[in-house]
Amino acid sequence: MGESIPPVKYGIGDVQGGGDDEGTDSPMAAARRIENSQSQLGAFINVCNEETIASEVMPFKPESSTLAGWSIAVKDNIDVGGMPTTAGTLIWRSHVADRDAEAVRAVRNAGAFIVGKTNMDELGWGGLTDNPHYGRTNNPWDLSTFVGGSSGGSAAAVASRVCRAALGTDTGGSVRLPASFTGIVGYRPSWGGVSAEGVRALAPSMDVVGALATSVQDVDLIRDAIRRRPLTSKGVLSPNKERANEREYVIGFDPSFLDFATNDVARVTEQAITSAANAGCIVQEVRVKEFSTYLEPWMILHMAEPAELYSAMLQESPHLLSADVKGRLRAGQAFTSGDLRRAMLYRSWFSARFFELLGEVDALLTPTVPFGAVPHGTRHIQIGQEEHDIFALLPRFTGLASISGAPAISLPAGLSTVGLPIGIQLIGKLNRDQRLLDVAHRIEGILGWSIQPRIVFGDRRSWNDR
Amino acid sequence: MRTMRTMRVSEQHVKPLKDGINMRFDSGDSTDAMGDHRSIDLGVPVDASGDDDLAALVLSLRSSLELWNPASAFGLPKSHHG
Repeated sequence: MGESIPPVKYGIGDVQGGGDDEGTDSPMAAARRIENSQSQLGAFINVCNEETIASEVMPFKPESSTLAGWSIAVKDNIDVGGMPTTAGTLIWRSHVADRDAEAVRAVRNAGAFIVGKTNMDELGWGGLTDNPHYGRTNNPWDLSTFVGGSSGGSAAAVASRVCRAALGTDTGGSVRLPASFTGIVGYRPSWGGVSAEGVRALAPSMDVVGALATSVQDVDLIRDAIRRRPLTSKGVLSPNKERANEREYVIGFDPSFLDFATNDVARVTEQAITSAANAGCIVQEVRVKEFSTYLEPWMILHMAEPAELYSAMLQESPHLLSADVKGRLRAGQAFTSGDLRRAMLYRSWFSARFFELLGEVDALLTPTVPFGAVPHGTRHIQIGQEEHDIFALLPRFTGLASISGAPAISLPAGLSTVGLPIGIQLIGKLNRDQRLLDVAHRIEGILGWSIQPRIVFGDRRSWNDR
Repeated sequence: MRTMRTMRVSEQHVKPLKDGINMRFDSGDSTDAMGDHRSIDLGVPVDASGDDDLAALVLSLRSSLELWNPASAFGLPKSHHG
C-alpha cells in the first residue's frame, strides 16, 4: 500500500465470534473478514464504525426480506450515513455523509447490512483502482495483477467472499470491468433506472449505480431492491423459474468484435456463443458498424462532463488532486462547446441506430474487456500484431452501453491460459433490464461457472443457507 | 446500420458445431464489416498528463469526431437552396 492512507478501522479490531463458520453471516464476521483481507487486497477505504455495526445488528429484517442478512460493501462515491464519502479523493477525505444514498437505503430496507466503503479510482475516473491516496486494490485471483476499476474495491471484496455483494457505479464500465477481471457478475442498469441521489457524479449523462455479486440471481435481487419502481412491478427471478412457455432467447453477436480481443478473450467468447447455441439459444449475427467510430465521442463526453462538474475543485484545490486527474480535467476543459454539441448529436444518432439493431435480439453478446487481468503497471496490450494503450482498450466494449444508456451485465465465462477470469458482456434494450437479466440467468446456467479465486475470506455456501 | 442476418457456421469466429442444434445459421456474405475501422490507438496516451500530450489527445479526439457529418447522418438534404 506504500504511503497511501490506511483505512480507518472504526472499532473492528476486537471483533470476535459469529460468522460464516456458524452458517450465517453477520456484521461482526464481515468486519473480521475485512480485517483479514485488507493487507492483501486493499479493497476498503473505510469500514463501519462501532456505532454503525451496533445499529446494523439490531434491525435485521425478517427472513422474508429479499436481502436479509446480506453483507454489502459500498463504493466510496456512494453515501453511507455517518461515514465519509471520499470518492477516492483527498478533498473529501473527511466529508461525512449525513444520510444514506437512496440505493443504500434501499438495500438496508431489504434487510442487508453495510460493511464498509470500497476503494476506487480518484473521482471514479480510471480503470485500475490504483488510487494515489488510498492505495492499490489487488486481484484476489493473483495479487500481482490489477483488479480493474473504477469499482475495483467492490469487485475484489465480492470475488474474495469478504462480502456477499456490493454496490458500485458505472460510467464507462466501472462495474463491468472489475467484475470481468475478478470472475463475478457486474450489472449496469439502464441509465436512470436507479436513483443517483447521494452519489458523487462523474459524467452524469452516463453515471449509474450498479451491483456486483457472484450470481445473476443475487444481482437481480439487488436490482429489485434499488430500482426505480414502475407503476406495475414484476417479480424477480427464482432459481428454478419455469420458462417453458417462453421462446428461446435470441443472442446477437458481431464476430468482428473479436478482432479487438486477445486470443484468450476471443476463445472464451467463442466458447460462450457456441455453448449458448448448443443449448438452444438462437445466435444471430449483427453488424455494429458504428463500433469503429463511437469511442471518440464517448471519450469527449467522458472528459468534458467531469471537467465542467469539477472546474471549481480544480481551480481552488489543485494541490489535493493527483496529476492524472488534474490533467484529465484540464483536457476536458479544452473541448469547445462545438465539440460537445457534435458529441451529443453523435450520441443521439448512435443510440437510435444501436437500439434499432437490438430490436431483433434479446441481448448483444460481446467480450466485456478485450483482455484479461494483467500485472500492475501494464500500460500496453498486444492484440495481434499491434500494441494498444490499455486505457483505450478498457472501455472498448463497455462503452457501447454507456453511451447509449443501455443496461448491460458482465458474466464470468472462462479462464485465460494463465488461469485468470475472463468475462462476457450482455447488452440489453433500454429499460428492458428484467429481460436482460433473464437472458443472463439463462447464459449463466449454460456456462456453469463455479470457480472462485485462490484467495477467499468467506464461504458463500453458508450465506445461501442463512 | 441494419444488417441483421443469421450467422454462418464455419466462420473463423465460430467453432465447429454439432448437427441438429437449434441455431439458425444459413447463408450470408462474408463482408468484412470492420474493414473500414480505424485504429483504436489515438496516437497519444489516453492517460497522458503532460500539457503537450493532453493537447494532442484533445486534438486527436476532435479531429476524429469531425470526420462524422451530423447533417448527413440525420439525413438532411444537401441542397440548402429552396
